Amino acid sequence: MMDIVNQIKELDNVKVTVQRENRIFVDVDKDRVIGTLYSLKLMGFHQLSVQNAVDWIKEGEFEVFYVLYSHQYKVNVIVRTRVDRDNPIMETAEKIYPSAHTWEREITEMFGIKFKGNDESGKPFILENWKEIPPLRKDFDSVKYCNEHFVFRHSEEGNE
Amino acid sequence: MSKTYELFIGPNHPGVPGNFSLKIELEGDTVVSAKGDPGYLHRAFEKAMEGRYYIQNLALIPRICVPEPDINEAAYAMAVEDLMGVEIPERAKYIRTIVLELARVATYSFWMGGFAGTLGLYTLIQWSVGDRDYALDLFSEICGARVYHMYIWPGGVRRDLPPGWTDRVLDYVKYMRNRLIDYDNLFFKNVLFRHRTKGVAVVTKEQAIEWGATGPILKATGVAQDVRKDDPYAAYEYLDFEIPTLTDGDSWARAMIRRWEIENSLNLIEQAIKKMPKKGPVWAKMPNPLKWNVPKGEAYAKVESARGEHGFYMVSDGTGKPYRVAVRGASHTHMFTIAERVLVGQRLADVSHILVSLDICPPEIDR
Repeated sequence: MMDIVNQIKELDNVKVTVQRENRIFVDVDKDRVIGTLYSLKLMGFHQLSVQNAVDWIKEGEFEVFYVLYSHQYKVNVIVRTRVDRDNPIMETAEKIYPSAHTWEREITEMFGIKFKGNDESGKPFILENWKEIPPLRKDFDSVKYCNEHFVFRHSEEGNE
Repeated sequence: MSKTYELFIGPNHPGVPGNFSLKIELEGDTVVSAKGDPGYLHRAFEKAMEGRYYIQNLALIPRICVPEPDINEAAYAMAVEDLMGVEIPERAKYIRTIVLELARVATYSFWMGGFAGTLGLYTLIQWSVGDRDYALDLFSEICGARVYHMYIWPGGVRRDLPPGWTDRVLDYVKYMRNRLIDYDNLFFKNVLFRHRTKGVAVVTKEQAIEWGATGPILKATGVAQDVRKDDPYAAYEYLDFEIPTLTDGDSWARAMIRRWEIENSLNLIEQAIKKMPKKGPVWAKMPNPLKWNVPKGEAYAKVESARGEHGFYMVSDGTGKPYRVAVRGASHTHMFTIAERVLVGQRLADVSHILVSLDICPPEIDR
């Protein structure tokens, strides 16, 4: 376990935090994330379990995270990067992890983060005819949306 | 004139367990390309969870995977426990193991019926769905619900087992072992099953690793990767079991892996009941649900579902509601990265059973 932590620490410009056994968090700049993912894959982190995002609205940033797994070391590495909320564009990871293709498509739809090099980033995925801001952003008000788009049936009325 | 034509599979189709659609392009009856079209089951669980207290979310999460809801409860509970630094009581660990393995048997029984159905063997579905119901009866005894249990929760399990429950589980184990002989004779040794599935939709070991496969798809290519062994949770570290593997990587191998997993689960249930402490608490005391603030931080908790790795990535900002919960269902990768590639070149008649052999669970994709 410490072997792999030291190996990761040797990568350029990464901040490594060992949370507990089998969970290593790696924080890296947006521009270096693809290089870091590539190096980690060469180290044996062959599996991208999940890629998704978190909206840190107060800090004006999105966090994109990649949960990687290595069967050899039996360790999960979670690579995190921040991207500006006003200009959310970053590089795709699909050339390193093929499954990133669809995760990125989902992130674009749910957060509005564009992935350069992913030809389906921005194509409708789960939502149909969505005209509002991306729904998993913190400033999307789901109660207001429901009140505007759906009719509520009150049970009392039906009983009369 | 174009030589190819488009065909929609789903959103309601025996080959797709749940509402999911697949657009395939065919030339004659050979698939040229396949594209998944999700969204029919999207209920915005991830958004809804951000607006509810930790305890309220327990009513939402089992619905993320309909055939096997317990894995969601376990992964969610483990993520919260991880953030709070809570160690659950020994007895609760064993109860969780028994419930999770019983759920696995029920899920594979359901799957077996669906798989046989796509091959035209309709007797099996009558049997196996009936056998799944006996497991559901056992669940209703511990929590009052058949499908969505909300039984495993942060800190342990909701209440202790009713008297005599473990004996009834052992009876079920014995019953299912006998039933497996019937299933073998009817289905797994059936020439028709072998002919239809051998050498169909082969995923090689290299491909499975490259595409990020987990669960039976990966085990069918010879890689013994299983969360229960690699990152043990509940009581798995105290139990003795092997990970079944095959090297064929085809539809047949994936089905056989699942059949062995049923046997594996039955053994695990028996062992867990034997080793479980007879007395003791089943729940580590947790705070008042309305004042239940989870410390700031991130956690990734994962369990082995019937389909592969199932995980919850949870971010807490120190309040009583999760800041963000991202769910990782194995089907997401299995559908878009694997099925879309594997289906190319296959015959139309095989599409349904290939999808079931990859065990795509649409609610896990849509969430």
